[in-house]
Amino acid sequence: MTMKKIIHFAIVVSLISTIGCKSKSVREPLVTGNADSLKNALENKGEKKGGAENTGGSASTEIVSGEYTVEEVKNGGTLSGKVTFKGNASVEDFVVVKDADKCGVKGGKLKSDRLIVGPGGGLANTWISIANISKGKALEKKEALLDQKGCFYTPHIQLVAVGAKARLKNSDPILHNVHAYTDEGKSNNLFNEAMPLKDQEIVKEITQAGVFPMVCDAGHTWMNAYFIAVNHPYNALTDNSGNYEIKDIPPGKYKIRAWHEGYKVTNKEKKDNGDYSYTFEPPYIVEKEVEIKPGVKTELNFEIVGR
Amino acid sequence: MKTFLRNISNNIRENLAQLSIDIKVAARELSWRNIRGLAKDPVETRNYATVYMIFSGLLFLSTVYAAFNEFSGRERRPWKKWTNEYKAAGLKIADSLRNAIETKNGEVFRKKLAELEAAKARAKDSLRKYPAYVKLSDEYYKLATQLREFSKELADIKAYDSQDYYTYTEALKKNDFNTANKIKAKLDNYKVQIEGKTKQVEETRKKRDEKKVELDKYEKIINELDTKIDALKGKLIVIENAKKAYNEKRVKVHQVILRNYSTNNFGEYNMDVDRCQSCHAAWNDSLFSEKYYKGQFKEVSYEEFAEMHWKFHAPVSADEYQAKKPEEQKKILEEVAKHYKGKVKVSGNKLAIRKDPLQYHSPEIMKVHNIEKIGCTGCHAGQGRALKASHAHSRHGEPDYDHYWERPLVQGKFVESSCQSCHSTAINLPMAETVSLGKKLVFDLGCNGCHALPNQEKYPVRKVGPNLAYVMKKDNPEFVFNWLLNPKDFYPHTKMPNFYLEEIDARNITAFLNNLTEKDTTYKPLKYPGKGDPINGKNLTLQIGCTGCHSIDKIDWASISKTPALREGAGFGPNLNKVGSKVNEDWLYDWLINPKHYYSETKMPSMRLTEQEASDITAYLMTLKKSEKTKFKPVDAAALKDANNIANGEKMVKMLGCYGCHNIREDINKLSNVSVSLTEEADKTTHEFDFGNTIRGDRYNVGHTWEGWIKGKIRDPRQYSTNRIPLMMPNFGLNETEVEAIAVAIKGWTNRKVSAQYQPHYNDIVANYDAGQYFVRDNNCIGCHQIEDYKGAYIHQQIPEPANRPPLLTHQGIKTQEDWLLKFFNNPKLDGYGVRPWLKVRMPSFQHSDEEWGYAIRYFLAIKKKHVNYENYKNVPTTPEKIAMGKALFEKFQCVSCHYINGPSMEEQTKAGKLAPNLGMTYERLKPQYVHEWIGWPASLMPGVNMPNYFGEGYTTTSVPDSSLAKLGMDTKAIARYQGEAIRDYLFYMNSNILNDDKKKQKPNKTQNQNKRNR
Repeated sequence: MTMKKIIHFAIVVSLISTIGCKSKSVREPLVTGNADSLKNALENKGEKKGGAENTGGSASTEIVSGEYTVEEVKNGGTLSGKVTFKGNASVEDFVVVKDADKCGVKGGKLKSDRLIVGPGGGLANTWISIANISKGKALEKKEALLDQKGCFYTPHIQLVAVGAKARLKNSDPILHNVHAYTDEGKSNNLFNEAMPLKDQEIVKEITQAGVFPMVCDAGHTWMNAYFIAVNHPYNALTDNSGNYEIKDIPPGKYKIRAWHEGYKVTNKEKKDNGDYSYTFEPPYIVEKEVEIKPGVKTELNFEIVGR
Repeated sequence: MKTFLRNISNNIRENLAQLSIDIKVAARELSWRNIRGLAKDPVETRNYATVYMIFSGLLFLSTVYAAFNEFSGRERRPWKKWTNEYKAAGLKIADSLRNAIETKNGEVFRKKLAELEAAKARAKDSLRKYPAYVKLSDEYYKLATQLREFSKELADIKAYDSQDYYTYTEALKKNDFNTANKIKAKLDNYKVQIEGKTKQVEETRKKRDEKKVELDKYEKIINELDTKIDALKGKLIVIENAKKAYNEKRVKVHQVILRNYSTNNFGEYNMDVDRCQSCHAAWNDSLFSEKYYKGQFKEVSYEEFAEMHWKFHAPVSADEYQAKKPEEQKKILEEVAKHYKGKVKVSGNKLAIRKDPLQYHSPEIMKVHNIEKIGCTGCHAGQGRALKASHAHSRHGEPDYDHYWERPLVQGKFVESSCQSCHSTAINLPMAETVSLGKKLVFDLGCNGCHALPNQEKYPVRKVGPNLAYVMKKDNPEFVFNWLLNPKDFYPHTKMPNFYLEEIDARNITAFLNNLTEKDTTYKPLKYPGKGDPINGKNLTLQIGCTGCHSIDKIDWASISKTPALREGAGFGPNLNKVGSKVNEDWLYDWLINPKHYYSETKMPSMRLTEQEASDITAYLMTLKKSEKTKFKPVDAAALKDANNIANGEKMVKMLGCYGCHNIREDINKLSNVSVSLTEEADKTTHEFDFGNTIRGDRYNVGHTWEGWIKGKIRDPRQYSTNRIPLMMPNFGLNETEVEAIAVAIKGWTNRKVSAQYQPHYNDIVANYDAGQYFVRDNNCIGCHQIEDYKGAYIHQQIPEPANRPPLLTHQGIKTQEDWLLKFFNNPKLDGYGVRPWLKVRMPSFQHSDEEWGYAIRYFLAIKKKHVNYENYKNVPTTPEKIAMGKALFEKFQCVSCHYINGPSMEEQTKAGKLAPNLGMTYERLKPQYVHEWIGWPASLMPGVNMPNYFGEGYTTTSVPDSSLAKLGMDTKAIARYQGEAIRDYLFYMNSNILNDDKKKQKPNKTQNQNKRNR
């Protein structure tokens, strides 16, 4: 009698387990869709870096420091000094081949403004910046103005804050265009605006940091200028006698960089149609380390030696 | 349980007692039987309970074991383990991610969240105290409740209505008009009720919505705060969802059923099941990417690793490895780990190999392939139904592999071979670089000269080698003789392979070719005038575009490309650096003037050289000679005249199949392929290959597998040669990348067909696209032009100024009119200066037939997903006023500052400083819509172009406000678009004299315009 019970038990057990397992196989949706969106959430929305991420081209990566946070600067130091030029200061003139009468150019030539040496060898239009600063006072978003007058860009170089507006103006009665590239290699446009009308104005917003060369494609091959778009206020351009000053610097050790665009024409090619195309030498860059003490004016001079 | 056991033991004890009694009884019986001599049937008295008990116990235990073994998954269901592993690992990763977020930004996160929640509470509080808001909210909820009630009532009435309507129709069917009439009255009543209620509901809803808008104004702050809180919590919520999904994941076989996916060996479509995802559960889970999931590894010694030849290829054998110094061993291990990144890593002085199947599949390709439809085995092969790794993979030599499975798992780059099952005619698959390279190489090396290849009929392929019918008018016998001995000695990367000819055979072939030339009377080259200027010649070769196809001077394809056998860019035509030692000047001059004169099938186009230019280039190229150090072996001039040698040479030519790549003599050209067909090469199994005298595990070939044999064959075709079976295939001198690419391509050549329902939609656009890609490679268009993402435009690096480069062709399909394109192809100068007269680089004259150009034109359309259509683009619907407006704008914008229009003399215009195309040909050259788009934003169609924006970026603004258009109700954007159209229309009608007939104010129509245009 008991043996029967045991055998029955064994059969029941095996039956139950078989049925139990069968009932498990039910269709279900794929699990992992959520996980994918999670990854997106983590990688796209997460940890965005500062201004350095948006810059394009080789020139711009080296000039823009990384993340920059604004905070109040109390008893900051001041950095000032002079940039001098050493070398042969003779610069080749540009040949004006088109619209000389409408531009008001006499003698068919224009003096280059890529090298301006003032009294005592002071070098104008040199850009001084604190390369590795990460916090300090707020950046003032002042509107920049680029005027095209007499087939020349004025000013030749200017600093623009990222997020600020740049006003382009044509004071000539002829067609100019402002063709800004994101890099010296001239492969990508920042913008390219036609300005056919006299006193026409176009306002563009500068959204990324970098050094942006600008040219005119309407036959005025000599026209060139730069926007230097910066994401912090510790930048300066030297004046005509080569002096500069940067104020309210939080005390600390810094790397200071002097940048000059370069002035020599390395290649001047005359085309079939009489135009000249100009290629300029690469920019000069000098870097120095300095310690800024609270409330003290620190002097730092640079010397650019012509190649 | 205890009582149960006790029962059993009692039972046993009772039985044993019974047994002893039985034995006694039996003994007594036996003695009694002996005495009485009588036998009583002993069976009835015996008891077998013990035996039953023992066997049923065994049965029970084996059942339990069977059940355990089946369901525990240790042996019979290994995939269960991995599903559980997947769940556990997924939860762990999700947890660690959440912890990372909380600890990293913990303080900030909590603070911010608390702030926001407090702000929300405050806002809610203050709102509640605001009487207007409270009133509004009350009203809103009242209306909402009312609406709900009304809607319910409406639904009820409708339900009664439809119920009665049913009874009504049924009554009508039965001709029971009495009932029908009664119900009809009811129905009419319902109708009125429904109308009334509907109106009521609408009104209430409208009121409620109005209140809602007002309410939202108050609640705006709270809603904004809610969004912020959600955004802050977002990541955590996503993680929680993922965790929930992992918890809900069930352990089961995940299978994809492939009905009629592909054919079997009998050419019939069969059903297949694909269960790979049961173990590979994480293939589409990005949390299992290398960043988050490190995988499980198993340590193996190098000896064990070297033995695993079904999966890995050891760079040196185990013995060689042992003989090395420890530092060198370390280096080898690192090399292996680098090669099998993600699968193998170094662990101390051993290797660790990945053992879990939870890899994450690269997601890009999954965006265009639905795995739930096509499964995994379509690309990766293997045995889809198997539920055990060794059976599913079935790699030759793997422990416990399925010996009879014909399609083992393909590994590494060989997976790409399967792309050809569905994309059989494509030559440039963006996500499968290796197989694309392989297909291109097969095409470039002229494999079709000796082998039959799949899809040959889709595009007419020309012979890859030069004309040999009168080759001695081009070269001299000494050069030909030395070239035949080993072409790679002269140019290491030449297309011509090495046939390992004996000197005597090379001489005989030279004699045969020499004899062919002597008998020829058809070809006579022009005489080189002999006043060429080599310096100008050099400038010309570097400027007009010769370097788009040829390696000259510093432009050397072998140093530019990692795969020099690929015929693209400067590697397309022959290297010209030693051409002065190869050809004679008369032939070269004649060739430059008109290449088709020597060989009508040549790929070299005419560069439209003047006699002086051709002389200059000839003079320059003849200065490019081989170095003095390399000496040619002399060839016996008398032996070349020997009739016997000539006959032997002809025999050699026929035997080696030279006619596969060269045009030789009409009767020889017609001979069939010398070698086997490769169209079903992938279906061969390993035992069908003859490995000759090679040894397995020999480093030179990968092992005795399909891949190993094919790679070895391509790398060194004669290595399987034995005394008994000598092999003839020549050596192409390819590097490892090229060898692997070709092997991958061949791996896809099978008779197995994938059925149409699983194939991408094949239509005329796909066909035109694929054939076009052959065409642009066959003519090396990509040497100078960039066409969509096809890697090309090699010549651009040689031309610094973007405006002077050959144009981008990606948009041709929407840019240029087809008939103009054909006109341009046939005559790139357009009887004048072409489109951009200032260009130094020349668009060659290819002298193709209209049918051949059709490939290019259809390809351009196919890039833009357009069918071939016949449209007259010249009649743009417009009005004279609009054209006049366009003209005014055209002048205002000073377009002629850069562009020129058909004028007095082309030459003068070329010199007038206008580096932009001739606008006079717009009406016949461009498509109207493209012109409009271009005026709106040129850089969007051609990045970096000099043409500036006149209307912002894509008609966003205009610098010339127009009050008359504004009066018509146009906003700035619409005005900008309209002005763009006006300029476009002016460009299309500037050549007609419609503008001069302003007073007539005629609407332009077809016939008038065509007559009026001064062509």
